[in-house]
Amino acid sequence: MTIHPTALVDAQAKLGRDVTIGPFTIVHGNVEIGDGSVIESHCEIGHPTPLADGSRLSIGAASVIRSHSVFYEGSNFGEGLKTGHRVIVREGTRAGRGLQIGVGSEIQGDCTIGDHTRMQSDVLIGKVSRIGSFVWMFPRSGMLNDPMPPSNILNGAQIDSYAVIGAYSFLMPGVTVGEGAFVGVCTTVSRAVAPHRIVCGDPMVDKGSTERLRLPGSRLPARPWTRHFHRGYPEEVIRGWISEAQTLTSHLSGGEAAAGTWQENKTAR
Amino acid sequence: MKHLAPMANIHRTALVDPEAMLGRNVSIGPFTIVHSNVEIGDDTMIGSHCELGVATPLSNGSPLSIGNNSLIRSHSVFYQGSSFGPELEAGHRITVREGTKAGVNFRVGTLSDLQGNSTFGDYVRLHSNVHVGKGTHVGSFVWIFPYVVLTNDPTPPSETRMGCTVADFAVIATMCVVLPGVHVGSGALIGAGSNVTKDVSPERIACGSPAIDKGPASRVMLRDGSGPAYPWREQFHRGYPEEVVQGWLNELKRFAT
Repeated sequence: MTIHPTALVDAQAKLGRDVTIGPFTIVHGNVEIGDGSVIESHCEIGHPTPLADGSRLSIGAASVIRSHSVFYEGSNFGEGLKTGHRVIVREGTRAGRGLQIGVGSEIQGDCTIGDHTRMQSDVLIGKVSRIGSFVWMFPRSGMLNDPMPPSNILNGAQIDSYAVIGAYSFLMPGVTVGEGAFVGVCTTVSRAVAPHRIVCGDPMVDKGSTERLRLPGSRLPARPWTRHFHRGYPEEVIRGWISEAQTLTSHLSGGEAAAGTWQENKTAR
Repeated sequence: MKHLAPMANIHRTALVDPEAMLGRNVSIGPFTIVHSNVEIGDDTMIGSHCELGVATPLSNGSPLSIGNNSLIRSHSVFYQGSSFGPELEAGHRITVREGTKAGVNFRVGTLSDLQGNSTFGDYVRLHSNVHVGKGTHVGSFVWIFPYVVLTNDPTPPSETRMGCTVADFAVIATMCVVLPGVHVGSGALIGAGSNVTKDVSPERIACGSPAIDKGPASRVMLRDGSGPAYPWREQFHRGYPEEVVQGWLNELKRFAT
């Protein structure tokens, strides 16, 4: 365990093996940090709030919280959480494994997030949002929750697994973006998006199936993205994606040849 | 450049690695961390709660280099592997990743997020909350206003990186998104809230979502009735050195005759 001499760590905090706490960071008492995690400088971890009803902030093993971030008590994160600088996470956030939260993002709490979801810089997640696994949210995108602000109504939005939300796009309160759907940049998602559809613009327009998307300079399909983009995901997850793709291809075209194309494509990278 | 500044300028709570190269008269604010792989030029001021020279394998060991007479305001984070010319001026809470190269008098507003592997010419102005994706190339004398996002991945998520380019003297107004690989021509003006999906020719106006061509930028008049607003270097000179301004005026005169 490495705690910088300038860090303030409450004696009640439960720190796992080989946890590192950076300079000028404050760790409050109601906190549990898993083995091998790194909390960088200038952070505040387990900020007290009556809204957490005394429940603890729990951060899984092998996590990295970058400098200047603030986490309130009363949230749970699986192992391998990774944040950028200046992330703010409020109470009642429940996230699975491998969540990535980009620089300057804000999670307002009382929300659920699946496994291996990735948020880039300055993402805003309103209270009572629901996010699946392997979701991507690009810079400045967000999820709203109050249909007639300001009001006491909290109607969270939902993003299903493998969906991708482009830069500057916002989900209006209560809408759902279906599995594998692609929301283009600057879109106001004002109604439900069916799985595997492309939508964009404000007002939002349906642009057809995600099967249409091609990688630039090639005729290879860009969807599902799990066939060509694997960076940073655990090996067993990638293996699952590859075998699923192979099964699917041999089903559809009955050919080893088609499955081979993916393999070649993968090796080419 | 001297090894280690006089202690008087380093706040007693700051953590400065003895390997860091600090020029003459550098000041470091309270609770700031300066790592080893950092070179800071003469007369530069670093505010409080900053972290400079954050280690990353992606920088291939190259240092963070900050020119003379610079100012970095509080709570900013700069990774190693970037270089800035003299007179860098940075707002509060800025993040700059490795591989960012900027020329003379680069100004970056509060909360901006520079993802690295990007180049900026001389006298570039970024207002607050500007997000610059990896692989972006920005010329000299460019203005980018608050909340602009410069993107780089045409089919996210993918390994394709197509950074956008913004040529000299271009102006991108607030809340715009520039899509991957788009080239904004020199002296072009992008209206507020635009979604720039294709290249913009030099000295043209583009706006809307998707952005469409609205004619030559010289059509836009100053509201005080004193003449055309563009090219802006004809009428706006604040903060640029005299010889630069003289150069612009001579060039415009030549062009006119």
